[in-house]
Amino acid sequence: MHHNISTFLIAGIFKRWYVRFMRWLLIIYLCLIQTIQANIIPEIKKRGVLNCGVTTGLPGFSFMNEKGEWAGFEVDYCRGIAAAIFNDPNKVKFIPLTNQMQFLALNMKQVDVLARVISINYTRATQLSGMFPVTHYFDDEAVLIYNLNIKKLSDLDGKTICLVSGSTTEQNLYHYALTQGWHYKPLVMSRGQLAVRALASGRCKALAGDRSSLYVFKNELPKPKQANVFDESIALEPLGLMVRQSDIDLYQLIQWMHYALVLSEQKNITQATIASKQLTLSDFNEQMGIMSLTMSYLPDHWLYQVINAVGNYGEIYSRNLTKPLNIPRNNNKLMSQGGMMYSPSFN
Amino acid sequence: MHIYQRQKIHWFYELLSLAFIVLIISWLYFNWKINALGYQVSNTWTFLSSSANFFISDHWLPFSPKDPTWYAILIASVNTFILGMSVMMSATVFGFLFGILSAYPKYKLQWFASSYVDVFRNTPLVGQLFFWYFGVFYLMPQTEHIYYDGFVKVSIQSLSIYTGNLFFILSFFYLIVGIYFLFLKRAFGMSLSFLLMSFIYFNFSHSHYFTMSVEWLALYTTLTFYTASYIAEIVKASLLSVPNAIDDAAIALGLNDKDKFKLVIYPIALKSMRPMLINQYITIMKNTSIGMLIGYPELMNVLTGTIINSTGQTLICVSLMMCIYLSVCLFCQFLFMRKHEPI
Amino acid sequence: MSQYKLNSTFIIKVVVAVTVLFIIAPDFEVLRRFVFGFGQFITPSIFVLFFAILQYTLLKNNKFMALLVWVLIFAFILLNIKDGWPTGLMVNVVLTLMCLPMTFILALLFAVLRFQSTLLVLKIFATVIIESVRGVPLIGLMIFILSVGADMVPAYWMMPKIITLWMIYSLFAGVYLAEVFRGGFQSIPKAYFDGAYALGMSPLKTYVYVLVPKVVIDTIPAAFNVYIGLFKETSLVLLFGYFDLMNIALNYLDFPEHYDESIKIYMMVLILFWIVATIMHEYGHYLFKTFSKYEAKKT
Repeated sequence: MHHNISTFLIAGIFKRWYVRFMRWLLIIYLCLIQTIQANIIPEIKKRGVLNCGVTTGLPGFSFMNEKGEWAGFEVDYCRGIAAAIFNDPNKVKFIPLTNQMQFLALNMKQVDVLARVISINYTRATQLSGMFPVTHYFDDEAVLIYNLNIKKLSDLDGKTICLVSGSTTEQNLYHYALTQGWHYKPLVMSRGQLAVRALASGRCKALAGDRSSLYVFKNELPKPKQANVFDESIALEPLGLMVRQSDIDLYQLIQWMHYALVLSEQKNITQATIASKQLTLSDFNEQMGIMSLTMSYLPDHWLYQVINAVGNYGEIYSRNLTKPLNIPRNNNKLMSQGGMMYSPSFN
Repeated sequence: MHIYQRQKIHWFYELLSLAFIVLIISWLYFNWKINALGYQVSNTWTFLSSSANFFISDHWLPFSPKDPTWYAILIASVNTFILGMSVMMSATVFGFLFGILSAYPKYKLQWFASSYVDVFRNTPLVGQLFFWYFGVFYLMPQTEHIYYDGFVKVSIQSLSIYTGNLFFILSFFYLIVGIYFLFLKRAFGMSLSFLLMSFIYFNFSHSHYFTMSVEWLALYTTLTFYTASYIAEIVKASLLSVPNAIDDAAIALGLNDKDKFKLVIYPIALKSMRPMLINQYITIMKNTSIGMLIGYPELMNVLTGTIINSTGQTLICVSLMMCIYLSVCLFCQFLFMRKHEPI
Repeated sequence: MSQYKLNSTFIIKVVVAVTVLFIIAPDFEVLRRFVFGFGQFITPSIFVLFFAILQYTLLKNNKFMALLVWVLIFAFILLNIKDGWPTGLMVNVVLTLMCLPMTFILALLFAVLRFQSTLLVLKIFATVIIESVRGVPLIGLMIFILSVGADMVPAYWMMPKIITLWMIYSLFAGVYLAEVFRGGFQSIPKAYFDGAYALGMSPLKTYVYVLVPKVVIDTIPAAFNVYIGLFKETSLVLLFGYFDLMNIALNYLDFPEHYDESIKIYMMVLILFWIVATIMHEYGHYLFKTFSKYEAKKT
């Protein structure tokens, strides 16, 4: 017999094993079909650590300090969540994400919560996989100019403006310029720091973004005195944490944690008063007006743990933003002081 | 491989493999279905026809933010295509130059050509891009101290060259040629490209300066030097693969060095380098996507950056991006391929 | 057995590059951070040890030991992956090392399925995958797999980022390597089939003992080109916020006082990449010289 070359080919190779192989594949397939999971907190507890997506470095909000630890306003929120779940603010894994990758990472379950200065808007709340529990920082969008003498924003007509990709500024600035009837050339950079570099080199004349970030960027320029953040605001930008739409339990946790942080500032309950045991749990509940704090998967005193770990809203703000960076509190003052921060009651 | 006998179809194994593949695909699909239940995403194509609502800084065709989104995608594709085409031309010239220099020891510049290839082939494209863009091109003068000598304007924003009415004349000429080709048989594609070029040139003709942004220049430089090193290697290998006997035969016929290269060696080498060159041209098209890193509005930046961000239609935009790149690559392949060419 | 002689130009090139690196580096600390990131010296030295063992097993032609060493390297990487590791040039090196075996396996599979298989269904399946991966840029492939592909596996798998990257890069390089292996399979003379048949080998044995070793050794130079390409492409992980060499350099240049050093720093990055790529190139050269001579002697 002259041998047939096709016996050397793939069907021939697996002749003996093919059917057995397929049978096993079918069994594995049936095992791998998944079921829908509703709550995330038990899963986080089982894992022993909270995965928190942060920026790759934005001083004041989330950045790695000199000791190599993550610090910042939003980092403290993540630590607060960890304190509520584990009673240990250090059981957080911080995962730095770029603008392009943030929603993908949330989608892929690489992170449980996104805390990277995400502004809330309709598209993100409805079209993406996440939802926003609460506005924890009232920001607005502004323009940072460098080495340029202009009086109002419309003087930027025809100039190049740097933007950071994956932000809402692209649309907001367009609509703002449209209503005022001027044009600009966008230069959409992939990272904030590259945009600062382009601004410092004179490639673009202005940098548009969230006002809070612009204060940070201003200090990163070679001559901060020649830079100026315009008072004129392009659009309101409430910032919020983001969780997946399936994780209702984490949603509620973050929402009411934020309210508790605000309320405790209103009631002058600080980290120090709790840490020094001046305030017992029952006193705390009484002052905050808490009847019962039942929430599935969490201990009954979870808010006490949170304030013990990170302090109240005012403390978080001044520790991260006011003291090191001189960012004014503007709209983020308590409502009693003329700001927009309030809390519903804990009855 | 099937030289001995006609191929037999193993129906049983064919069906079994089909079942296997269907199993995999259905598994992926049901997983996707279940995961997508976690968030309500409505996949609609309507956003393509609503207005784009963003500016694009560099465009070869006229564009305003009021235009529909599909037109913005087209603008970005044209950016990618023109960048790729320009790089193809210049990289071919440089590549052939360095390839010929490094193939023959009699040229004194062989060491230079081979070290050029060595350096540019063994370093990453992203690194080279940042080197050119932030390292070199950011040394250009500020807008206040713009360099201008009547012919070129150089600033950190852009490079402008005085062209006068050149583009208008070119546009007119291309229009005539395009219309002429329209009436010829089997030259419809040719005519279409001439008309397109005429249209593009016409858009430049309202200004007396031809302006290129710094991002474009940086991408162009990076991709040209990077790809030229690959092409040089291909050219060198093809030239060296021509058998010595052919060389001897040419000498025996009494051809001098120049004619020997032009008439004998080069045509033979060109045939063996063609498939590899096509491969490189397709790679150029794909490599233009790094323009995303420095903010050049090419397809990847506009479609998966700006449009996904403003509409949230991830699935559609990503699939569209893949389809467009695939078709651009296939189109390039089609453009350069000749069927049944003997090597 | 080895007919390989160390190329003197290679040594001169690397020595010159290292010298230039030390001259243009602002200070030693910066250079150290670029190479080892925020980690220590200990992990790289363990890698060197592993490679010494791998080299020994290759020379002794002990396939089992070589496989074992690869498994050890892989286990070592997986055990060590944590928040702060790897960083710097080590990200690129580690990712490339992780991808090498997987790329090889995938490429062999795709090459056999697409160009050797008689089963039409498998052939079409492999062709579609190969062509669609080759047709889009790596950034596009990454975005596709991370956005759409991520939903296509069960949500509870929760793969670490580096594993996802590992799969993407392996797929990407594997598809290109499959083309290389295709050429290798096509260049095998028909006599090899007949010889194997005459020895009474089954089809599977023919593949494992005759065809695959021949193809793999024949295509070492071309395969190493693909591996070097893979190593260069790993610099794209900066899109994920990974602190690889490129990202650490960018972070260093974020400070206004370092703006003037841009050219120097980017040249440092390029030289570091160049050194590793050149060493890989020379290693491929060495493997080819050694094993093709060995083959020739055996046949």
